[in-house]
Amino acid sequence: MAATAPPAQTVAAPPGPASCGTGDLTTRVLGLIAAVTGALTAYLGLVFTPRDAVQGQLVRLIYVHPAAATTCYVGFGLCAVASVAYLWPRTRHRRWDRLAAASGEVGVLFCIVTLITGSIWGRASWGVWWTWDARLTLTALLCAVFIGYLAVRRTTGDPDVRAKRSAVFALLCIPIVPIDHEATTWWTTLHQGNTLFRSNPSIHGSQLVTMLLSFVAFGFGFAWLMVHRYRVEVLEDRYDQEGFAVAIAERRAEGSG
Amino acid sequence: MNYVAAGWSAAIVLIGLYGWRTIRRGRVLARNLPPKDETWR
Repeated sequence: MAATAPPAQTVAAPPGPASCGTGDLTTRVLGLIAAVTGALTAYLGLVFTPRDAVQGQLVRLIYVHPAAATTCYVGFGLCAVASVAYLWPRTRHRRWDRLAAASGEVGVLFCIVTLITGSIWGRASWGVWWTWDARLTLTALLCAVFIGYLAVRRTTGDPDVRAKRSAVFALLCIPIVPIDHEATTWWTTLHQGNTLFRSNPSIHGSQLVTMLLSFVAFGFGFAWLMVHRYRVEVLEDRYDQEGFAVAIAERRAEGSG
Repeated sequence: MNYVAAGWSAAIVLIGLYGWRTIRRGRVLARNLPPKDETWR
């Protein structure tokens, strides 16, 4: 652990500019870009783009659901990369464990968004909220195992042991991502196949532009959340190391006052 | 169109709530720690 213990007389900072949390210019810029691209996607997706010949108005969910799914894959992929970097002795540093924690949690958020929007889409187009289709089942499994990963991260004990255990767990879970992505190719499923990632995309014109814009909006949203969440990890580490000393200093200050 | 509205609303609400909760968590932690020049401040 890199942080050093604070002086014994240190007390908690009063609310003010010094305790503004995890925000700074970077997060404000990322948040602004995410909000603007998100608003533009909403306008184009809900107002400007035409309805689909087959799916009608339901096609407008394509500007949310695939972007959420891709962002969740990116989150879990980043979690796996950071886990490898932590397990590798030459690159082992607490920052990789923090990155894995942040990306795992944000990935779970986008996985839940994917499952909910997919379920709504399924109800409207297939008539059921849920079916044990290969793609749906694998996405639910992916969400469940990464919720398990977050539970492993919450276990108490030596932080280094916990970080190693979590990293191994993430690496055991990550093979589900490519299997989930290829599920519609490998098996006959109710879920439609890839819309974009193939030689002849099945979407064109303003719909294609809006769909690509939705990926940009979700990407910036992901980056914004990641920066905030990573910094929360930094502050939690500091709190674990310094919080006890701060509490004692506060009690002493109260006692002498 | 109700399903479309439900899908979009669910995504916006979930992401917004998570963002709000994360920022709030950071503010509470920072308030309970001694002042220190974090790299992002």
